[in-house]
Amino acid sequence: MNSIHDLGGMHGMGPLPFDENEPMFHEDWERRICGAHLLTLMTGLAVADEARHSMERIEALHWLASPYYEHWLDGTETYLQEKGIATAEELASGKASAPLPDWAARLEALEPEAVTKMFTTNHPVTGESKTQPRYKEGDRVRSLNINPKTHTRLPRYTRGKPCTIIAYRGACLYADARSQGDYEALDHTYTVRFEAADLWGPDAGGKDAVYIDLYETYLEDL
Amino acid sequence: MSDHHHGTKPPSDKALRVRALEQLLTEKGLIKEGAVDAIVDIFEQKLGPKNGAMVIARAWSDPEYKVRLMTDASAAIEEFGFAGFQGEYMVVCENTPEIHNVVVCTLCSCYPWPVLGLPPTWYKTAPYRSRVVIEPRAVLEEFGLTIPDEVEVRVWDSNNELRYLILPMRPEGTEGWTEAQLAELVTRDSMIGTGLPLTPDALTKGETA
Repeated sequence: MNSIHDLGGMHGMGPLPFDENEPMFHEDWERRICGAHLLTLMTGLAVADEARHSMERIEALHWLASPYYEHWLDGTETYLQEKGIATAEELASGKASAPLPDWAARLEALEPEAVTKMFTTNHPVTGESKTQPRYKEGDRVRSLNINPKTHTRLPRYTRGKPCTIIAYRGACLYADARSQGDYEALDHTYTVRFEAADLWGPDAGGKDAVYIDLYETYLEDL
Repeated sequence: MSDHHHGTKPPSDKALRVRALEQLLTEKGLIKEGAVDAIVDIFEQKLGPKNGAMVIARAWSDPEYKVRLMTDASAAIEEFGFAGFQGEYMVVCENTPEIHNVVVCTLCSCYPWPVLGLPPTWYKTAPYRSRVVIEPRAVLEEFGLTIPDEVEVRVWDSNNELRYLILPMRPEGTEGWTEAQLAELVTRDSMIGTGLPLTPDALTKGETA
């Protein structure tokens, strides 16, 4: 979706917020929501793509004015409600009044030791695709000009532009479909190179380029 | 670390919401005591740019390790025991006299946690994410980094499952240094591409990575 989270190429966002001695968390609630949000994903209440889609639906004015971890809090509350795990009243009171849906009631809460192990273990982010990749290194292709209202990992500034396949990266978890509940979805993924001039016009650095990983679904023959 | 030092300041609306969320999920049997702390403890105690610096220092010292790192970065990084969320599919980009690489996530805040920990605020917020793809050289100037005209700048927008770590060029004057000495030169920003490693001179003058 074309919301405020998709920032690449915008102007007017203010100075870089440098802070040499910034703490990892500015307030204790940031520390708690960082852990609690990630724990909901690890427990199986949502996948990261659903969480990202919840955060990108935060209204733009609020998104811009709120600190980073408030996005995590807003997003977590959103998917907990949308997936039937919590009601607004429960989130306000902290007291359970509605039963969990069956699928969530079957999930097992993780012991701290299991959390530590899962968090520090590599889990596959690619899988076996039923199809062969369509493109190979060196192919010239074009990204699609699409404007889905749902989650996509094709940023606006890279749409409808020619690019070159740099590397095939395997069939990665397909975020667009996973954000809509198709959790097993995969798509062939390529690192592509966009020439800066093709993205931004003649004023862009002639030697410069953007490299980005795009799903095959986003690409067409040039 | 905690908000106790704020004394009598009442908890914010956000603090109350987070507390309610945790209480609710605990009561529903989805969160166990200590599980949230287990995650934060990993960030606070195990992850951070010191991990990445060890990887870079070894790549500078050991040509065979560098080959492994450039071929299968996640496996080579796991040789140190660094693995897990946001590091499952690592790719290392090497800076050379001809090419300077820099990493961003324009859509959210994707970042290689096992080797760098949580990202700094500037990495996560709008000014960096919006500008570095359209005017990388101007942004790098604001980090104090001037890229010569003849050097190509490659901006890596890590929007998919892959996570990127930059292998900076080894500073001159470090011949014969041990891995541990070299690691002291490797800054966080040099592994994002918004900075360079410290020079031996800077280290002598007391700068730290």
